[in-house]
Amino acid sequence: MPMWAGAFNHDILGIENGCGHSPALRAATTSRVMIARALGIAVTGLATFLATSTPSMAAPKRWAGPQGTTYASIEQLPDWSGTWAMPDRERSEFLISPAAAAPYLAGYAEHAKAPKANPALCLPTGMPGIMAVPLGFEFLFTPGRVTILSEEGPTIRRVFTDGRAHSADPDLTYAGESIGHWEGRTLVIDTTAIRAKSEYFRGVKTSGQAHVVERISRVDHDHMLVDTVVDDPGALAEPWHYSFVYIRSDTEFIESYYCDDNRDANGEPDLQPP
Amino acid sequence: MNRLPLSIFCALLLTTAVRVNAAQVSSKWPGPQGDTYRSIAKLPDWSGTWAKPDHVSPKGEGRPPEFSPPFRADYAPALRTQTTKANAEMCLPGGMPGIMGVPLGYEFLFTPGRVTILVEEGPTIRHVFTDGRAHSADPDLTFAGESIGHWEGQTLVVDTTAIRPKAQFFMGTKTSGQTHVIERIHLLDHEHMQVDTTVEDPVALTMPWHYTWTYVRSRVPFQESYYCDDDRDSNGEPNLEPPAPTH
Amino acid sequence: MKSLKRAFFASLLLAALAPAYAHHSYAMFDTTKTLTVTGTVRTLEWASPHVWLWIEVSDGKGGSDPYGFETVSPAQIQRDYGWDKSVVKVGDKVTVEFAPLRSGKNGGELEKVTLESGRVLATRFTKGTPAPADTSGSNPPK
Repeated sequence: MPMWAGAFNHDILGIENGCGHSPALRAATTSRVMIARALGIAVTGLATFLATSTPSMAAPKRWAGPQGTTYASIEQLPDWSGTWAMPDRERSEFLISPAAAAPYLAGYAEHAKAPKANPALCLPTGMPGIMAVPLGFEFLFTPGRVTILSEEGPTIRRVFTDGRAHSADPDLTYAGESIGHWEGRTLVIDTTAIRAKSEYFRGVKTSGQAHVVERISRVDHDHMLVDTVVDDPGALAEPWHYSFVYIRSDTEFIESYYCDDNRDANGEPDLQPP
Repeated sequence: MNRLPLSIFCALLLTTAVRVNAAQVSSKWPGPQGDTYRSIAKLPDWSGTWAKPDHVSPKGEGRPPEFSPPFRADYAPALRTQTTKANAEMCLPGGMPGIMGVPLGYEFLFTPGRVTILVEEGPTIRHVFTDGRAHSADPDLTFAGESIGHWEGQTLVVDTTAIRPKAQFFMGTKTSGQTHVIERIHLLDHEHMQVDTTVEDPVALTMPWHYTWTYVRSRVPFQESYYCDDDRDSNGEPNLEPPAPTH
Repeated sequence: MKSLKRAFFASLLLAALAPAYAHHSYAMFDTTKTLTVTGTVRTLEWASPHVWLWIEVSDGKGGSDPYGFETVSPAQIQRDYGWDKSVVKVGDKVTVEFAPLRSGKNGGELEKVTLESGRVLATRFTKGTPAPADTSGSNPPK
């Protein structure tokens, strides 16, 4: 059991695949408490996390435990089916407010002045910001791969869990190039090759040198914890660590394209009623 | 501890529920339906990236659609020559059914109760529910439509409705909002996948339209691409400012 | 614990403007003509949805002018035409056949590249290759 898990009520881990919740958990589980707990865990585990999450450009490594390289192995992985979303009201607390990010961004003042966010240009946010967009996510497990779908973009992240290393000369993309492995019930993802047009948030671009390491786990039936460290020598003064929680959503994945049926054109909305 | 019996009870309930669901699915269609990973392991291997070649005519017979009079005037020209009214020009995906004919890459991901089709154009994500559900009563219309599917042996049969009128039969056309697409997809061999499609549209078409595509297995992985990302082409006049020379 | 009924937070997103650049039709090129130039490779812009080849063409006065040629996406050019990013290097001498821009500016839609080695790089618009079933979308079978 990872070090940070001790902060959780044992009930959560014991019945994460169960069909109900213990009275203790039911009482405790408002999303705010969950998120506070998650932050506590994140802080507790940060030292361990940073120590073990060194960037790997070396040969494929063998990891213990099921890695999902076959359907039989996938059956042993946790169940991440369904649609997940960051609750809108929580988002502003955690991640992606410019004020929170300011200490981390070299040259932040310049970034903050001008640019339109990618969605305003009908483009996806890209990594790492995409993971904190308050829209829906899905995680699909197939042999040797986890595919993360985001309603924004839409965005397709392919995380190769087949043991491969990062490639020598990748094309830079919004999603970046992701390789991952499982440490027990935690998916650890290492992402590079993120194009410079990709965003942290709201128009603030990455540098083309961003390197993102995520640790993702499902902490109970309705919550996923996403723990992220970004280092980006071109944009960040120091590595930036943040955590947030997704909540299981009742709604199926929704199709959405920014350029679609858009009333807001060039700053002046089209107020012709339908 | 009093939690233990509860856990056992829940486990039993869950197991029963899973068994019942599996029975419901399998009693409707024989053979593996991919409702569990164990069942998926028995399905054919559609892993990897598939591509419709850029310049290959489709296998088999294909005749153009028979448009109804209201649609014919707008769209008959598009049968012969490229039009300028394609969704791609507005940074929108082609939508169903045309999206399955783009000369780009496709992926098919099998997870319990679902096949997810990814298309390089859009990008487009098609959720094909293979869990035995019927079409929903009041769906939102989308470019991808609402798809339910089942397996007949090695063939995936997909039934798609709820396609929005902005979706294309093919480049430069629109559908009617009442389009119904049935696809039968299967491998011809390890390198070739055949997609047999029938499109019905009581408003736009005077009769069902049938055609066949063949995809080829590709070693080039699925590429990321967003039409609005085209920094050079602005509404008819490209940006000819050359990039800095590379070294 | 109730799972989150997720509303679609369209309002949270910044107002999306009409795109300044949109995927175009080929109307800007005169596909009835084929012109030929020879030059040296300046750069290969390996980008979606279009790869662009840039060459420097001598102006006959000791200088050179850049020419830009658009072609298909990296996905298609790899799968269907056998190019990869390394197929040309900066400084390579190449001969380019292209359908010119109607505006008369220096560039067009790429039809064929012939390398100094004699190797020919084809594209969708290379004369003599089978015509595509469609050009950039999803036309019906013929």
